[in-house]
Amino acid sequence: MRSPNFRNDQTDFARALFHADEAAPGNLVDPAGSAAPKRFGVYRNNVMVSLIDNLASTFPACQRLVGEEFFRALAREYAFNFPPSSPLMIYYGDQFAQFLGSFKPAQQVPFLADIADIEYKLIKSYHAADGPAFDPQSIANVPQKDLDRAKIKFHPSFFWSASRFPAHTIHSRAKAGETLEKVDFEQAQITLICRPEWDVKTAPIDPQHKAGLTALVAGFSLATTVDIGQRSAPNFDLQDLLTNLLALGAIERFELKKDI
Amino acid sequence: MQHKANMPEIGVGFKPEHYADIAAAQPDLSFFEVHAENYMGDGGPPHAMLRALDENYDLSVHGVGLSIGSDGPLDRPHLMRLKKLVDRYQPKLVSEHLAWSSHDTERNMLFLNDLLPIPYTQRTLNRVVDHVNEIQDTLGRTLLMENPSTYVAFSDTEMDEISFITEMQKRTDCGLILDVNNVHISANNQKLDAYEYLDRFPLHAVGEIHLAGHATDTDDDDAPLLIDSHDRQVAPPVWDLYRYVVKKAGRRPTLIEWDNDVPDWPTLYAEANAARDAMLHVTGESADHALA
Repeated sequence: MRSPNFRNDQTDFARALFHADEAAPGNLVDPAGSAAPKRFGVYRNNVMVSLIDNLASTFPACQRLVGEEFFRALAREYAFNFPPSSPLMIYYGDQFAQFLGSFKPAQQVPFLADIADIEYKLIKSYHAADGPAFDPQSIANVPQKDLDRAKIKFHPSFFWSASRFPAHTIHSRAKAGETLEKVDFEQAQITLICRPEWDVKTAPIDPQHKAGLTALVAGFSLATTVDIGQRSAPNFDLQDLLTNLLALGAIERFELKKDI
Repeated sequence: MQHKANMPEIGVGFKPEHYADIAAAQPDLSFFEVHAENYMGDGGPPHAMLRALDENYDLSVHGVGLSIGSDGPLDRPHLMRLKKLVDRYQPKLVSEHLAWSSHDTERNMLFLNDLLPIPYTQRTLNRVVDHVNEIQDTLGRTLLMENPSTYVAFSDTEMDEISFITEMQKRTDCGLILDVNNVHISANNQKLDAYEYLDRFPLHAVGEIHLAGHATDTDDDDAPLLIDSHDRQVAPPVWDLYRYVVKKAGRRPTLIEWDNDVPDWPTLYAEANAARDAMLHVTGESADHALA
């Protein structure tokens, strides 16, 4: 039973971990030399439970919304189809929102994928690089006549998530363990996410900001942003958007840079 | 409270939920150990906490993702991430496991998030030796390698675990973590004598001892199968083994690991104090005497 290539054995081992219906690799035995499927099952269980637990800790609001049993079934399905491809388990679940959006049983809760998108971005924000607080001088440094050409340098921990549902409200309620009573599910929301200091903070803004926010994040100037924003939403108000971003600490500074 | 220089080096696995308690109480410990991979993000609270701990305590960086027992090559980008972390904090100890967890498939890399067993053969020994050498060369420092807890044996194994570890240590000059809970688990699961195992273990190379709790399941014959669960207090037979090791090897930095069902800070700290008391008792010092 000498194995010519341990690499092949590890391929078989890895495959068998994810296929509970298949036999354990033939070279695995108990101390007496007998086949030991139940012993191999410990590894199967360890791997699957660790992946499901990892997702449960990254997506607690999703779990609250669908209940533990259903969530763990969803997580198991995800782990089977999207096993980790890196030892950086802090970022496992990067495709969970996308998976929930396309996996039929998850669509009983139509906003679930959007809540998962927020929760994953909370993790990214938590681990993002540290950045300076807003520099008020940066806006004073831009001559009034050039303000139209100014651009925004965002804080590295800034992320945002758009939903056709009131995803920020739903996420906050689920996180606090509250019911979704009296939530207006027709109301779309954009969730701003940022970690200006220790804690990751979120804020909801009106969906009419979507095109303008996309433009600002893409690096367009304030004037171009107003143009893009108003073409998609006539009432788009840049001042209002900037106020929201500043309140959250999402802006590091205003700067004059050449157009992209 | 600052750590007394002449007290035994006792540490615990750091959990962010204990940070406020630790910051407020400044417990009398000498080091905190972290899983390297949890601190490979760019910034935020994980690094803020680590920086704060680093001011008053030694750090130990314990990797769980390098997959040293893989037949394939090491994950270089991951090794460079570990190097970045080690360069940044200059921890007192850096360690990894005698196990594998990653596998290259034809299409992509698969990370299995568990410490999987290897057969003890000349081929796996050569691979592990190459990998440990590569890591030590890259980091420019000694790596401590931890003995595994195992649930299966391999029909194609060629030597016992102690022979493998002894040879690995000789050929790489690496250090070792002696996880006493793993010794107890593997001895039960592999039907070996834990004391005999410890008698043959290359204790001179041990730079750290790990202690943790385990769960009990059953194997294919309904005999007890111990599971390395890190979810409870250290079991009495593991304390016995620990005292046996300290008697033979003398003081070694000792860590309490509690990774699942994490208890409140006082409970974890009590385990650390129990380890200190056990060490002082065996070496014939009372805590008062050592403080003097």
